[in-house]
Amino acid sequence: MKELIRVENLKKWFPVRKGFLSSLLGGEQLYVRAVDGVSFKIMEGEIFGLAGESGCGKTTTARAILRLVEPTEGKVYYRGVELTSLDKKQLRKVRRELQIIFQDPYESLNPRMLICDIVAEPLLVQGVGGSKSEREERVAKALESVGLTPPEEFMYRFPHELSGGQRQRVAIARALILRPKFIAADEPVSMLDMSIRAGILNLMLDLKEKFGLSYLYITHDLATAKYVCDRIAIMYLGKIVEEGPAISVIDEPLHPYVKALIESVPTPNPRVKVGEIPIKGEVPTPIDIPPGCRFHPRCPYATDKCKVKEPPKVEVEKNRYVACHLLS
Amino acid sequence: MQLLKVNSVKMYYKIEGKGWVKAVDDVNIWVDKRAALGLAGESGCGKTSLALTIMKLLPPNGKIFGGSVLLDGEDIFKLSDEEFRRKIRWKTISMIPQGAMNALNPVVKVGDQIVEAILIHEDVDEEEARGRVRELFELVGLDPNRVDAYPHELSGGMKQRAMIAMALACNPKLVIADEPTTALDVIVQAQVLKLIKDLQRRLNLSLILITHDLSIISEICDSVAIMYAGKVVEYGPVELVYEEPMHPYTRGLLAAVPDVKGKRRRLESIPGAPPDLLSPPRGCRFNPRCKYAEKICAVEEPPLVKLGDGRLVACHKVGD
Repeated sequence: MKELIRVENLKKWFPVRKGFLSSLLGGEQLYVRAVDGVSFKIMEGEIFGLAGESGCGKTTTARAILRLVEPTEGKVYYRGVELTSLDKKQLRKVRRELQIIFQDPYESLNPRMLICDIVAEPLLVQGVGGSKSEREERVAKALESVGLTPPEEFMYRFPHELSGGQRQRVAIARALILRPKFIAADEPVSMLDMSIRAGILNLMLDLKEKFGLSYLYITHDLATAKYVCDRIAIMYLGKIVEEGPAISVIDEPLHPYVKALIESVPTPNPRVKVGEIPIKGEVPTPIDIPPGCRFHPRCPYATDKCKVKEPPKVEVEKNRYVACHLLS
Repeated sequence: MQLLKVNSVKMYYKIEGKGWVKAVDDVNIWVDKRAALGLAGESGCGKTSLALTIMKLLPPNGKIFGGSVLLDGEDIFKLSDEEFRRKIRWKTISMIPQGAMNALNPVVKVGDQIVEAILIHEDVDEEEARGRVRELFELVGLDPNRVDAYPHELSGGMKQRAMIAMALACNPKLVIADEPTTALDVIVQAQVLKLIKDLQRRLNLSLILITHDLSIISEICDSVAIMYAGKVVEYGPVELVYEEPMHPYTRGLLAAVPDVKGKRRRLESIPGAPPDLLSPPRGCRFNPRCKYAEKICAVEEPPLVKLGDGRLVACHKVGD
């Protein structure tokens, strides 16, 4: 498999706004270190999952890859082209191939636009639409490919006339219309009811096969991640702590945090209960990140080394990467 | 032994100029003493409305159209509002409303907010109430010295623990928890669920847990009621319903849920969307989405029937 996207030591720090007085007094500038040195690759035709609890930096990572927020540091390559060094015009051109789907289909579609105009908008932005009838034909095809058939029934309606699942399908159609190679899907099903979720996930899987798409799947839900992802990385406080094939990471996690995270997930099987969760407390703020291993204050196995030295992400088994002193 | 029995309860919301939204329509369920009932269903199915009906906490446009709610055999719908407030609400049945932890008053210390709840409902002085709040904090795994904390000084998990303490403040027999872990991250969720289960056992409580997440019910509940479009479609012990679902809707829901600790299998979605409860479909409300639907399903409403194994199902295709 060929590499599609490579992320190298990506960082995004957000400055913390200071009060008037402290800015006069010139105190130290603090940062929210949302993404703090993340590296991974996404291969062609792959669904790569980025999972973790709220505030771990998964969404910011996706946005920084697409340069919807400017990275503070680090490089992102798309098919060998360094996205992080492109100017605006060049960036717009390659964005044809890089699309994003957002979490909330109630917010990501303009309520005053018709579905056909929403789906056609990327064509106009990119100046590749052709005539109105050509555009409508492409919109119809895109709607068909996301299962909104017959397309004429949906094109001339407004978002509020559709259900949540149908809206998310419209958002996917809009992402597909430029025939992208890569889609970042940021919690695409977490706002939807469970009977609808499976349909959207299956659609993503089918589109991957049909169009040879690759996805970055951002989620806090490890059960859906296990369902769709080929490989997965688990983030904690702005860093990847474990990475590998989705099924092996979720079935046999190695990092103490990932173990606790997966043990915590309840299952629909009444005979399987959540076991003991040995870790303490809650995730600290990304402004004041603990020294050494970021997880050490909550880790039941932490040693003196963990308190001072940050563990690098290393390959501990074939294709399995973990950032933990106990395992390397 | 049943603690609470809901008999043919109907509660509709009036929408000016449009008619009545049949949010709770002829619902029958019960909760045993010291048992945990899960109330599951998708958004808009009426699960929260049912809880608000039991608590008589309806908005001005919500109207109860009949039925009875028996608590230890006594019909609490027959009580006057004053009696209900004094004897039932919070004293016997308390609730952790959805999103309640974000509804704490930000400028009042958390402990004081619970003291206030106790003083309203119990005949005790403030000092005694304060003592009880410290005990409650300990009970829910909070440091009793945090009674003087303001809500913003507590994390999400700690605020939810404080809400649980508030619900337990007057030693209720039944606690209704509406999506108590929805806003929490998964590790904190697991801790809060363990706390709820542990307290339910230790204090001999009955629990109604409302959630859209079938996995949470399988984790801590004994029985489950699946609601669809204002009706209970299946009700029974969790293991029975989850392992051999009978109603096509229950089957559909379970086929749509991935299991993080199980084998990867193809998920199935249910086509279509839930109906508008202003004018629900005739016959079985699920019939337009049901792949087994026959003529009768679109004409006649299926009653909730008890099967040999003890569960209840409302489906024309089951049991004959």
